[in-house]
Amino acid sequence: MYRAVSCVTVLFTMSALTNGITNGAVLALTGLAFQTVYLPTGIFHLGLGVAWVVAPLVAWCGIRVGLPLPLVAGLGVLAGSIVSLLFELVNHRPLVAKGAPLPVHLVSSLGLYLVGTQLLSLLAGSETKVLRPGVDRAWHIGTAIISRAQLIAAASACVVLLGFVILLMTSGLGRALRALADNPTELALRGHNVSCLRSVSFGLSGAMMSVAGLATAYDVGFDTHGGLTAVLLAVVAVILGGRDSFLRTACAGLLLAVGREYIASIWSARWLDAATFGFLALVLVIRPSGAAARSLRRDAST
Amino acid sequence: MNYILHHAVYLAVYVLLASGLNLTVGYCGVLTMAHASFFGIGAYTYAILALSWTSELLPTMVLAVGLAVLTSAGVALLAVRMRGDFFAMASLGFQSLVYCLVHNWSASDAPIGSWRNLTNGPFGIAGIPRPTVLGYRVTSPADFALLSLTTCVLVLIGVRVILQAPWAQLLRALRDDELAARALGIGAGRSKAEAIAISAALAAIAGVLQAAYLGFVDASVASLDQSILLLCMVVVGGTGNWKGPLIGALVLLFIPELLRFVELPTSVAAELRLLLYGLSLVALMHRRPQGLAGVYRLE
Repeated sequence: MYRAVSCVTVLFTMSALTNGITNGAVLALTGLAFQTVYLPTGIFHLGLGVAWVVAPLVAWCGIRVGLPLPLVAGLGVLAGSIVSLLFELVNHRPLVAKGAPLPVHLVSSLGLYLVGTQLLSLLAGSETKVLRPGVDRAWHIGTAIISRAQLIAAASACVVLLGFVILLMTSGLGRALRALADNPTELALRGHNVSCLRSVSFGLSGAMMSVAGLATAYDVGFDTHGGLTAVLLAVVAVILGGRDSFLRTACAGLLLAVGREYIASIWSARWLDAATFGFLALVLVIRPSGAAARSLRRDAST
Repeated sequence: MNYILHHAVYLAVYVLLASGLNLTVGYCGVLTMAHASFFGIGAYTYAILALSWTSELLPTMVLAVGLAVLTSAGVALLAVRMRGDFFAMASLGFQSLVYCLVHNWSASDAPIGSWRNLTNGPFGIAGIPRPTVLGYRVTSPADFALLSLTTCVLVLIGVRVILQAPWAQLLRALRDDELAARALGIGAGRSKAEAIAISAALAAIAGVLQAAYLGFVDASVASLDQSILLLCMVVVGGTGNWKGPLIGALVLLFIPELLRFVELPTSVAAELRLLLYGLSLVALMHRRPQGLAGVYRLE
């Protein structure tokens, strides 16, 4: 009896682990995309939900007119990046110039998300769309099954994650972005163009979110209203990883996805969101700065 | 005539909801996105009680308010622990949690309203009995309009009395400078919890009225879209006084009616309505952050 229970546990574990890691790579990328704007600017960029949708939508349109998948994926990422950048130029930058507080950015970003999503729904319909026709090829790894779409999604997310980490750690732009996150005032005083760097962070964020949206859409399809859920999960990853780090957010996204897969395998997929947000509420009540956040000296103004 | 009465009921429901949200956003400075969850709790409480116990409005309303106030402790706990847009996101998480519970709490082999099938999941609860008020059964649209508007006016008078009391000054002090207010000995946590509880109670009353009027309730009453609509009403109308929510509810209920006369297909009209809500949020944040008739700017 004990052996049977152990076998069932291992079976669930292998399957959940495989799915968790593949979905986790995408969720890590989503969290990192959100954090790329949040950490340097403090803005809750809910408009990223539009980038999540617009990239697969552009790819879907391209596929319908017979363009190859790599080309339409590139166009999708470009479109997502431009949308995110536009939101900064037409909304957040003017609000910063007016000295608007952060909740005003949040509400206007929510408004932009609604406008973008509804425009896309009006143009392309709100029904679920798929990027790949037919049944996908799958492989057995031990007791787990992994599909080609899952592999492509995880691989593309990992490549972008790695690229971003290399950019952040080795390039001058990465150093400037980290400096922007740490102390934007000092960065401006040292002669850096903070507005330009903010635009770069919005563009990069949109590009990463687009890749995540494309990866998910290639695996399970997409609809025009799925963006906010993706952004909410990204926020959960940011809160769990702590508000002060790019890399811990990515790690938290990975762990969150693995945890969600375990819950789905041992309990039920329909309670996934309840468990996720319940856990988030618990973490926030116990440790408001985030589960893995560094303990910082309390500022006099807080 | 029925058209006007129908909209009078809806206006009363949404004025109650927006006034409740105004109390937390406009007077307390707490930007919550979980208001629809209390609306849902009120609506489902009436639906379940009316099916299994009594459709008498007063006891069901009291129980719905009690349950919403209890649940509001969760949001209050979050409000005490964090501020600003992080609280807004946390409340969004709370909203998603409640929606997920309402949307999934079902079992096909159990009766509706039982512990295993409390909300009947995505199918909602239909055939909710009409309410009775002190033995008088409310059935016609005119009766419902009278009931809703009377409840709305009575509740708003109550809210106005509360807002003229010293307690409201205390809330404003917390909103404008929490650190200074706390230094003066004001209990920030308790005051915020009280404001959120009153706000939740108003939402629950609105939920009871809506469920009793429609005779049907589903998970959409507690959805994120509903919370966004309520936030739009408060932001568009304005916060920090009693007029803002009234104007916000009037404007945002008027937009879909305007689209009805353009004779657009239903699905297009729904998308267009949300698009207009989004545009109004962006435009007001840029041009008039305190809303059309409000006095408080989000901070």
